[in-house]
Amino acid sequence: MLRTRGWIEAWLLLVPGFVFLIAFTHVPALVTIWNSFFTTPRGRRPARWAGLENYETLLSDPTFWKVLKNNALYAAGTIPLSIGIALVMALWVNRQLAGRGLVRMAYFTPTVLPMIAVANIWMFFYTPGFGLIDQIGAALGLGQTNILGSADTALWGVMVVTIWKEAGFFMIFYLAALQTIPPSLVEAARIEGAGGWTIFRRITLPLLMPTTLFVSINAVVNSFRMVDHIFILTGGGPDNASSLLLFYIYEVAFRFWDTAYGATLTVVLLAFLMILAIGQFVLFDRRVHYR
Amino acid sequence: MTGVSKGQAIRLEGVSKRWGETLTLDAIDLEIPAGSFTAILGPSGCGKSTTLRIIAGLEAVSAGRVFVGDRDVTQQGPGQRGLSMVFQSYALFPHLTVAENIVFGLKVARLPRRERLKRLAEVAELLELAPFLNRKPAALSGGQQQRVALGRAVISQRPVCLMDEPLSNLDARLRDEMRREIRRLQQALGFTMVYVTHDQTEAITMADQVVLMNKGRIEQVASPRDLYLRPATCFVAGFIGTPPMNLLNGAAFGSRFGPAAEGVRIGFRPEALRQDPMGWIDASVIGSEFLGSDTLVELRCAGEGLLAKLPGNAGVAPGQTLRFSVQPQDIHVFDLRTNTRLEDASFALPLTKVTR
Repeated sequence: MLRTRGWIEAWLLLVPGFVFLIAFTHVPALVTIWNSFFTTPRGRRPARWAGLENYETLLSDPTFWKVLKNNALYAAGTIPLSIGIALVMALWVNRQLAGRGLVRMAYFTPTVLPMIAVANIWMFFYTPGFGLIDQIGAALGLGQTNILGSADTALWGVMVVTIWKEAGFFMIFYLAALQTIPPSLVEAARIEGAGGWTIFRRITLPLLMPTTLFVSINAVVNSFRMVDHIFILTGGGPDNASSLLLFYIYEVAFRFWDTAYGATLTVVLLAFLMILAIGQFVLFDRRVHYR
Repeated sequence: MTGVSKGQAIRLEGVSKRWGETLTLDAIDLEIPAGSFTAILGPSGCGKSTTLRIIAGLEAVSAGRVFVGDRDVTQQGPGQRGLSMVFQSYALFPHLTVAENIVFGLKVARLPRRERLKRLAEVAELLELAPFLNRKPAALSGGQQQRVALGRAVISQRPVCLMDEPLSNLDARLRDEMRREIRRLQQALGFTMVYVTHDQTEAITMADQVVLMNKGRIEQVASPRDLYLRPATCFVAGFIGTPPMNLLNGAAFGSRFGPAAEGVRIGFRPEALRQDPMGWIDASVIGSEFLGSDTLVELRCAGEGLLAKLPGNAGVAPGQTLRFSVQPQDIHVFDLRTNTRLEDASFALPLTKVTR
């Protein structure tokens, strides 16, 4: 009797959280999967069962393959670079340094800014003719550029902005992790004759592995999730050259109002994210030492 | 263990260490003989750990020079000084196994794999670590972690080994065991040991030579026996021994010395007091503690506190008045102005004469 009451009480306490989680996360996710098997309802024509039709359309959709390729390139370019830069910056601001607090703050500033603001700042750099890059280029006698306007370079331009924004955020995690490594470990390694590079490779880096796992999962999720700056910088163009999967989903669902196909694309995106996250855990598991 | 390395001497010349305004070490001169076990002893904040870290090269000197063997290593990094070190926290690498921890230095030095494994087997046998070689440090007890740290220090066969309060994280029983083990290891392998501790029992039982420090200076360098029998300063006398030496103002016995009693302290150990109806020390009992084999009696004499260790259960009651005598060789006299020991035995003589 008493146990039943405790049980009921526990559930009552869990309910408020569950209601929001179910209403705004789990139900929409399930509805999305359900919708992906129907046609898009239009006007007086209601949605009808379509089976795998939407998925067949997806496989033969050249834009889908293009944004998928873009996204793969975007992830492969931004993840290692932003993590690498974050680590270097963290190591740098972790030492005794005049004005250390100022440098830390400067590195962290991009994280605080909204992505839309970041994109606008970078517009001042990229704008052909009178942007910062072209002004410096002109001073050096170089010609005018149009990085965001040409299909070959637009995606790279977007990637640079992402790295700039993400590195400072990841740096904070590395910095926190670095400060939990006892200095006596480094001292012991120095006594044993290890140089700076050996200490980094054999002591610091392995002890940072839990952080690296955490940061890299975040980076992977972000590479599929962060598209705000594309709206400002390129709008996905030219000719989808800088469009990513989520940006394409937005366009399909809310610009072309093909909600069923949007749901189908979303299911694919969620499947990708799940596979990648699980894959990372498996890949890192043996190499991560948790304290 | 094969390839026993010969210990090397260590010499500090006028070493000072300054942190901003505070002077942690004040022009220290120190000789540590090759192959000896030297303990650096002192209260916390006396600069003993700083001295060790300066020998190790983990801390730079503000002034002075450091020699290991005949080499001036003042400007060299810790890896080039030919020494190993055991940290208070052991500083084991948590992500490496016991075996990897122990051979870390050999791997850095690019010793061939066969030699590494051979030495690892020897060290594992010496320290009884063989069953744990594939475990991570977190899976070991404190005593076992301590052995791994010792193994990492001795496997490289360097001529000098430094230890910074290595036993302070162990329980009392394990501490006794490890004390003997460290001493045995040092004698078997013949390296020079510099051992920092705040525990005088450790220093006195293990060391050939004790360096007693206070406030960034060296008070005395002597064998444990000399430290106890002939303390060089008032501080040493008051630090060594449990309970420490009684130190009374010379003026308390003023009438016996005349003007010479000014500015001196008279010291005698609690165990040197003998109950004697003819004695010259007249004290009233404040309280007593029964310790088993003897009794510690708290006394008051000429306005100052005094401790006496009496054999057996002395059965004294508070308020009782007792008379004591002290043998002349057990009396120590310190000059407060020069902070030195006065060797003039005649000075102490008037005290021993019975005045009735």
